[in-house]
Amino acid sequence: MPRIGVYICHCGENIAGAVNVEEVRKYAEQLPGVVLARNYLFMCSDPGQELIKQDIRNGLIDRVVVAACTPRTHEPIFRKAVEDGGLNKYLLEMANIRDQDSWPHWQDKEGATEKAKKLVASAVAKAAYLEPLEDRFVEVTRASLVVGGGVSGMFAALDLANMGYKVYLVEKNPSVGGNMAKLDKTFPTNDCSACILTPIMVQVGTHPNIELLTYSEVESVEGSVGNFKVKVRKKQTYIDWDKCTGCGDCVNACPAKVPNEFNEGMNNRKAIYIEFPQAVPKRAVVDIEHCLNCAKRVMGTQPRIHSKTGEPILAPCEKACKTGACDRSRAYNPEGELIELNVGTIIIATGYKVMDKEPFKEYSPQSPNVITAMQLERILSATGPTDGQLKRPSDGEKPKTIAFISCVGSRDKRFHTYCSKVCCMYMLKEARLIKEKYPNINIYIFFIDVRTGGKDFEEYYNYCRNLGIRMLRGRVGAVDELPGDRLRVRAFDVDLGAPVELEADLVVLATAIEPAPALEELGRKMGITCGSEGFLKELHTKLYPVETSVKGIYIAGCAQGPKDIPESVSQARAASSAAAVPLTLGKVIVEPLISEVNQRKCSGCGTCVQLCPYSAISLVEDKGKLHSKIDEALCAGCGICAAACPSGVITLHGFTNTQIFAQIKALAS
Amino acid sequence: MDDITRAIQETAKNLLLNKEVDVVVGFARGSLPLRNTPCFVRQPDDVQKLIWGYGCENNLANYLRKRPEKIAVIAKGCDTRSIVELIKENQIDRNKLVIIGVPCQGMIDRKKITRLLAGRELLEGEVKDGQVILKGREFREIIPLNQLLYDTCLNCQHPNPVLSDILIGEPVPVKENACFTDVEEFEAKTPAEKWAYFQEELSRCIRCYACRQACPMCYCEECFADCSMPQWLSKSSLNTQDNIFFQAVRVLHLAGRCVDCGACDRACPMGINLRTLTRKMVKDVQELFGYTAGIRLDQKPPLAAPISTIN
Repeated sequence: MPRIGVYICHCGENIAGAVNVEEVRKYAEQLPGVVLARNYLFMCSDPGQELIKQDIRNGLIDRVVVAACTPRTHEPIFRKAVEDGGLNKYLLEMANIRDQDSWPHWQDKEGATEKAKKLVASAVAKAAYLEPLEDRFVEVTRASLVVGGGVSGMFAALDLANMGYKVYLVEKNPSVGGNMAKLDKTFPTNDCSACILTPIMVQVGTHPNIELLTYSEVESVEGSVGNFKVKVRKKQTYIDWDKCTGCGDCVNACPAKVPNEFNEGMNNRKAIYIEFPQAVPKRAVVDIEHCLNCAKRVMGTQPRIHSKTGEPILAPCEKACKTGACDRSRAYNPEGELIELNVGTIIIATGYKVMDKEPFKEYSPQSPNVITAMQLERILSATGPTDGQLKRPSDGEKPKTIAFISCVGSRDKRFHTYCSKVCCMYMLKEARLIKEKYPNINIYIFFIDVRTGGKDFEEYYNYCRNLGIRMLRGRVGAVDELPGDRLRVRAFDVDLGAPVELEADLVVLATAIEPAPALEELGRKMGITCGSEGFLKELHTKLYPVETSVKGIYIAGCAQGPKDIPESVSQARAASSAAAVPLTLGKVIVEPLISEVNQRKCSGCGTCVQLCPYSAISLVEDKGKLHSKIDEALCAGCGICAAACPSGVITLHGFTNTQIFAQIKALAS
Repeated sequence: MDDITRAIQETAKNLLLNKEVDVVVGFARGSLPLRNTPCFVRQPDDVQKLIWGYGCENNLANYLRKRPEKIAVIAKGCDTRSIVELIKENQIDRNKLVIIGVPCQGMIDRKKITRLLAGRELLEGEVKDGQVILKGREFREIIPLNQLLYDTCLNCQHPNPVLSDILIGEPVPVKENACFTDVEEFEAKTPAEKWAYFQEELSRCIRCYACRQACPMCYCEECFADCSMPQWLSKSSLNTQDNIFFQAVRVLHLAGRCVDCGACDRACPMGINLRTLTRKMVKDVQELFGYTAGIRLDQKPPLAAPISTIN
C-alpha cells in the first residue's frame, strides 16, 4: 500500500481566496492511501518544500501529491524537492487547484472547494499507481536552424554564430532583409532603414558560421530537441549562383514585365531579377512562371542554330551574361534541391505581411490614389518606384492633401480584433517625413486612439503635432472617388461630435499586420499551435516568451505577434540565447514520460508507425513476427500511438491506463 | 457456374504443379444442400474438391493472416477488400499471396430458406436460370434467386475483385449507389429508442464471440474482451449492458476497416442484427472521412492518417 502525502497550497490568496483549504485538507486526509495531509501558505517557498522533504526523510511517505498551481511552471520545483528528500522525482503528482479551480470559480467559493476536493482525490488516485522512472540524456547536435531572414532572423542567426555555433538561415525570398528592407526610415529615431540593415545583411552573408539558404523553404521537421532533422527545399533559381556576380546585365536585357513584389506591386520587375539593389546574396533568379522563353529558349533545351551564321540563337538574358551563370541549356530540376539538415535547436522568425487594401471596399480600393502605408513606404524610399519622389500613383503629381486612416483591419471584428501595434507610430513617421520635406502639404491622420507607448514614442507624437500634422479622432466611414483624381474622406469626429468631410489627393491606409502566409502550416510541421489570431503561441506569455510548446523550438519577431523593430531585435536576441542553452550543455534531459509497446501483444499492424509525428516508431521482426518498436531517444511522449493502437498495447509512462482509470473513477465517484 | 469451377480447378492445379504456391484456399462441397465449406488443397490431385457456387459465402481472407507458406486464395469482391486492408495492416505479405479473383453473383442465405420452409427439411437444392429449386420429402418449391440472396449481397457495391492476380469469369454488373435504408431507419431513432433497440437485440447475445472469430479484421493478439488487466467486461452474458459494450467496442475497432462482408452477421447463432451496427460505422466513415475500406492499396486508412492528409 502506498503512503501518500498531500500538500495543499494557499498560494497566498490565489487559492485560499476561493477554496476552503482546511476543509480540503481534512477531506484529503481520509482518502485511501493518504497518510498525512498538510497545508501551507506558499508550498513553493523554501519552508514549503522543506515540509515535503522532511516527511520523506522521516519515512512517513513514499508518494507526493501537491495541490497548488500549474505543473507547467512548478512541477520542476516540486520534483526537485521530492528528489532532494530521497524519492524518485516521478513519484509526484500535481493537482492544479488554482488555474483550474480557484481562478475560474472565484465567485463560487463552495463549488470551488468541492471541485478542489475532486481534483485532489483524482491526483491521489493516480499517485497510488505512480511508478519510479529514470531520466534519459540525449546528445545534442551543435547547430541551429533559423527560419526567416528578416531583421529578427538575422539577429538570431548572428548571435548564435558569434557564440561559435553553426547556423543555417533559411529565407524564402532570394535575399535576406525581410520587410525591414522595404522601409524608408524607422521610428523613433528616423534612421534610414537600409543604412542600418545593410551592414547586418552583409555580416549574415559573410559570417563563416552561417550557411545562408535563401530562396528556400522548410519542407518537414522531424525529431526532437537536440536532434531535429529538417528537410529544406532550395527552390530552383535557374541561375548558377556560383558563377553569378549580381551585375544585373541579364535583368536589363529581359523584356518581361511582372508586378514588383518588393515595391508592393507599384511598378514592374523583370522575369529574371535581383530582388532589390542591396540584396544579400546579390544573385539573380528566374521567375519561371513569368519567363517568356525568348528565342524559344525553354529551360533545358539546346539552342537552335542560325542558318546563316551557324551561331546558336540565344535568349537576351543568356547573351548578356558574361560569366555563363545564365545558361538555359542546362537541365534544371524544377523542384529545386531537397537538402537535409541536422540541428539541435530551431528559431522561427517568419515575420509578418501587411493586409492588402482590397478587402476594404468602403475605402475605394479601386482608386490608385488609395494606397497602403507599406506602399507609401516604398514611394518614400530612394529605391522605390518613384526613386524617393513623393508622387501619387494616378498621375505622378505631388499631393497637396494627404489623409491617413488608422486601424484598417486591426481592432475591427470583421478582420482582426487585435491592435497591430506599430501603425500609430509608422503613420506618424511617414507623416513627419513628408511634412518636414514639404511643409505646405496638409496632412490629416484619422485615429481611433493614438497608441504611442514606448521609449521616446510620446515625444515623437508631440513633435509631429507641433509640426502641424492634424489629428482627428474618429473612425472613417467611407472614402469616395471624386472627379479629377480627388478623394473624399467621410468620418465622424468624436471630439466635435459631428460628421466631417475632407478632400484629399492621397489616402493612406494603415492596414493590419498579419501572420506570414502559411505560418500555420509551418507551425503544424513543427508541432506548434497558433493562437486564434493566427500568430505562433509562446509557451508562457511572461516567463517563457520565446519558447514554444515544443522543446528546442523558439520564436522571435512578428511570427509571435505584431512588434516594432526594437522589440523584434530584443526578442530575436533572447531567442538566440535560449536556443544556445541546449547547444552549450551538449546534452538534454529527456523526461521518461514516453511510450512503450507490449511486444507480446503487438500484432504489427503499423498504425502507430504511420501516425508518430516524431518518426520514433518502426516495425522490427522478432522470431518471424513483426512488432512495432519505439526509439526512446526520439519519442516525445505525445501519446498519439497509445491512443491509436487498435489493440491498446502501447503504454504511455506517466499516463498509464491504470493511472488514468483511477483518476476517472475518483472524479466520477 | 461449372465453367468457373473447372477454371478454378485448372488454375489451382497449375499453381501447385509449378510450385508457385504451397496451398490453395478455396471452397469444397459442404455436407448440406446449397452449402459449401472452406477447403485447403495442398496436392495437385486434390483440386477436384474445389468448386464454385452460391454457397461460397465465407470470407477466406480470414485464413490468410501471417501465413508462413506461399498461398493462393479464391476471392470474391468482399474477400479481396478484406485482403487489401490486411495488406495495409501488415498482416498479409503480398509477395507470398496469389489472388484468384472470382466476380461474385451473390450468395444464398440459408436462414432465409429455413424461414421459408418453416420446419420442413431441405434435402436437395439447385440453382437454375435465376430460380432456386428446393426439394425435400414431399415438397418441391421454386423461388426466385433474388429472394434468397444475403442482404449483404443484395446491397453489395463491389462484387468484382478489387485486387487479383488471376481473374476467373466475367465481371458482374455493379449497383450504382450504396443503399443505407436500414442504417437511416436506425439513425432516425431517438437516443431512448436506440438504447431500447440495443437492449432488445443484445439481450440475446451469448457472448460466444463467433462474430469476432469470423471477422477477418479481428486479429488482436489479445482481445479486450479476454483481457483481465484491466477487466473491461464481465465474463457472463447475462449482463446486457456488457454485451452492448462488447459490440460497441468491436464495431468501433472496425472503423475504416470493415468491408461489410457480413461474416459477423452470418456467424451469429442468435440471429442478432450485427450488420446495422457495422454498416452505420461504414456510413459514418464514408461521410466523415470520405473513406471506403478495401478499395485502394495506396490510400491510408483514416485511423492511420494524420488529419491533414484526409481528403
